[in-house]
Amino acid sequence: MTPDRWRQIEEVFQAAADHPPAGRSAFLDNACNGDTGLRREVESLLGPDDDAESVIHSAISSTSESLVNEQSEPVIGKRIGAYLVTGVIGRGGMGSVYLAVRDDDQYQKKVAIKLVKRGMDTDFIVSRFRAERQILASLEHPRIARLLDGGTSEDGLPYFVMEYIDGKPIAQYCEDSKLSINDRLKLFRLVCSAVQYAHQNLIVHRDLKPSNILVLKEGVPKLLDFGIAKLLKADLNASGSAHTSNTLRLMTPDYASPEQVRGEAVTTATDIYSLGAILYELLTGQKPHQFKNYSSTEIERAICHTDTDRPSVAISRAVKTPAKIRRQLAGDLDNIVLMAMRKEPGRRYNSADQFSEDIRRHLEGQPVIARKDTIAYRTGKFARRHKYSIAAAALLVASLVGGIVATTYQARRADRRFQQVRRLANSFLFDHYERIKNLPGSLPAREALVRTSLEYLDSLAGEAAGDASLQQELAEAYRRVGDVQGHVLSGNLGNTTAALQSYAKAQSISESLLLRDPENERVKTGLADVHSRLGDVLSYTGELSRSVEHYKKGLALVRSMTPTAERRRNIAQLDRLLATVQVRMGDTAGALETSSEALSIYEILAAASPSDRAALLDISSAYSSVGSLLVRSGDLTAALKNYQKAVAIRERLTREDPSNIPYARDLMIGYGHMGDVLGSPTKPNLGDRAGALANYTKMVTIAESIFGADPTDKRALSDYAIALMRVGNLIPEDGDNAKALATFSKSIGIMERLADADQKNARLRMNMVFVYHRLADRYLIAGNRAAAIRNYEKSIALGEALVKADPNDVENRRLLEDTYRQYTKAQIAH
Amino acid sequence: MESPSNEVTQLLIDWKKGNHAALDQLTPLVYQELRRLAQSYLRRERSDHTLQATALIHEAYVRLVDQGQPAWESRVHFFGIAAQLMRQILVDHARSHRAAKRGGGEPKFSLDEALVFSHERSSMLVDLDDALRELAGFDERKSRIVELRYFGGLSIEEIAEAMEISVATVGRELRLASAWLRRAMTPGPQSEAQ
Repeated sequence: MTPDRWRQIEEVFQAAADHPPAGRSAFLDNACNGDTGLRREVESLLGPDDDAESVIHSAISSTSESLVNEQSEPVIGKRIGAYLVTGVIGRGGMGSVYLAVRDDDQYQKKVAIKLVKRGMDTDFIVSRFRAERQILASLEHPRIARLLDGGTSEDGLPYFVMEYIDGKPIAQYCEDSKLSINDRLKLFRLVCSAVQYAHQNLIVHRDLKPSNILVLKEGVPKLLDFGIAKLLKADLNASGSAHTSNTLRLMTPDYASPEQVRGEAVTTATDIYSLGAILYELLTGQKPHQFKNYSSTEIERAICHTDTDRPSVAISRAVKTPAKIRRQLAGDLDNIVLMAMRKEPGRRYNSADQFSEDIRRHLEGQPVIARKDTIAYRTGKFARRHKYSIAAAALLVASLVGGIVATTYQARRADRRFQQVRRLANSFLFDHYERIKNLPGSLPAREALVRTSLEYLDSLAGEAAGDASLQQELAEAYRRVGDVQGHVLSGNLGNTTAALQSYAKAQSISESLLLRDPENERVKTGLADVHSRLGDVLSYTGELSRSVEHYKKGLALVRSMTPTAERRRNIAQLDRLLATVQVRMGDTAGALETSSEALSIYEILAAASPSDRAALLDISSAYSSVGSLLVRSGDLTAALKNYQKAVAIRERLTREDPSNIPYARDLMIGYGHMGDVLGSPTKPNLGDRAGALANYTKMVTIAESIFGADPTDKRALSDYAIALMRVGNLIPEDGDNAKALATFSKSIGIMERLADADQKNARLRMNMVFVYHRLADRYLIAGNRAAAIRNYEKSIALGEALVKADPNDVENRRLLEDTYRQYTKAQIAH
Repeated sequence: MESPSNEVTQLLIDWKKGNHAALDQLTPLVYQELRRLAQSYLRRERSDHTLQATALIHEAYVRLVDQGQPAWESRVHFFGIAAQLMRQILVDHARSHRAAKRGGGEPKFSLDEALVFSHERSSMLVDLDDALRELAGFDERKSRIVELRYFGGLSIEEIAEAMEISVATVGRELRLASAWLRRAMTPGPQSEAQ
């Protein structure tokens, strides 16, 4: 900004601001006299004055607020145990939670530290922690935040170190994401399974509440503070009523169970109650009890003595609740929530799993086990009165099942016609199907074939429901029908709903066969296959947690059989599919575990046949995926080791077969991974810039040679440009500017060529926004302001188009804002 | 030992007389007092939870400067220094937060629902500081007026006195400066291409 220009802007601005808004436009026409730049500048400054003032005010006051709130314990930059505090996460009744990093760690993994405040019973907490730390540390579940460490600070205050979770409290997450009732239920079931896991390890949470359940961006809930409440609170069993008020003071009464309020024994049923109260809030947006003054008598009355309103009634209190939602809650969901929240611990769900299963039944339209809490139930009379009839019913069911089995065996026929039809159907289904499977355009024919055969088999099965081998054929037929209808990993008709139904039929037939003959390996293999396909399709349709369930069931089946090389390969294959879904769910730890299993299987297989190149490729890609999962979970050193192993194998493959382009490209990608983790400035890295540069340079060399071998290979060209971009990006600002300029120029030259040929490639354009920006930065350093501004403008033009095309893409937006800032600076500074 | 109140008052007088060393001695005293006040703020019972940075400066002034002196001129000087220091304290605070949270987004790890930190808001102050420095690059006076007004909490009249310009001019300067800052803090390609 030149002083002259600024004076000119000021003059027009002040005069225009004095003008009433109505006449401003005409005034500006006149005052700017065709200088559109001036006019745009002044117009962008004119606006409501108080708006400008409030922007400045709120910037200042929010920071001063945060400042005084933190000054009481100025711990940032200080040390707690082996950890360096870098920020404050929150404060509360029991102390504060800080963000910290382990000071002696190479990769500075983030942790949350809960520092108990002065005045708490610190001796008690410390001794309790010593007694329980082993149990708590052993709690390893992808949806439970891990307790990593604990101890006493220099000031003698106890602290707990936990995995740092960056997520939203579950209630807020549901509101912000406007989740439907069903989606809330599905999310809640994930919480239940984590609680179930802890309960199986004999750990009760004791303080479950929405703020202790954070949901990650990916929609995965993480439970915090498992077992911590027990450490912080006086032992309720020993305390009697004297402690009651103290306990209540420390906990949120909204989710507390009657036994906690009364100071009675806390069991897993206590957590079930809190889970019920949380679900209540997730479904209705309201807390189960409406406290006015939170006095202990009021709390005790509400929690221990008053009937809780049904969720469907509570939601009617809210203004503008659609009748649809009320209807959705009334009935099953009312009963499910209130069953979990029953005042007597023994009459709630037996386990978090049972609770979760009842929700699943509701979701699938099956009858639930939760019933309205009747007076008869409550007094226990029902069970007593019906004890004999319940036993009688059980007997009846058993005899019916036996009877059906017996009848079908008698009805089994083996007449010739039956066998002929069966052979015909089978030959269609298996021989002909296999023959045409790989023909292009054979999809409709395959479908017709499968359908007709299926009809025959179906009618035969009706005649011989007890014939196991016929049932087996039927299950396989359904599986094939499913494949044709919508198995996403092969050519299909795109009807995933129909495919899921067919697979479900195959599954239920196989399962009933397995009930009769639990060790039948053919049935097991077939069923595992069906689970694997269900996993594939559900992952495609986005039902990730169900997908995971099926993959896991498939894995369990394969694992239950005698291991052969084929089965091992099958397990590794399933692991890889499962890991992909786990990554999408944000379950990095789970994915890591799964991928590591695949890796060890490939290691065994490769050891058995050391020169098998396919096995080597498998193992190198397994190392590579374990590497990237380790990057995700923050263990960069271990990630590097895995990447190195992948690269070593690929180097060997390339050496043995130098003209093999896919090998070379794999190797290039491997170098890229190593460079990234060693020192990419835009990714988490180990700070080894030189190492990164060496690897990126190898990338460039390979990309160049692949492209040299086949100049029509667009992908190689694009690889080349990206490799150059990475090299350029590694040259420090005060480093070899000429080299940086040359590298970026070469990279952008290639990208421009690629962009001409491929008008729709957003990824490429994103890279271009970045490279133009960096190029401009470099021109600025070189003192060539005109070239810098030209390149910033190119970056902005492309960036704006990208943001316009996808306004939700945060990364593009951030890139663009950054460019605007640099651009403005470049213009003003001179 | 001299009481801080007398010491600060004397330093202000010395500085006004043209003794620049006095300013060097004054700055850490005011800085310490501001930080100390900020610290003690939380421990006191507060009915309202909003705190203005300017309230801290006023309090520091009352504590540090001998109120028996004809205080008007020293007051303006004091506020001039304090506004600058307050800005520095707040910016340091916001930046340290930004550094701590870099890459992490807004943390939502809560203990008893008490969340005090907001990442975006801390960024706002850093943006304001950047913009102010940019403004000072081509219009030092406006940047100074903004500092006195918003960080120091001086009234328009006090600023006019301090800078020896008319009240109307202060108003107009603030009007453009605020508009320019607002625009600079809102991302967008609004600046004129040259």
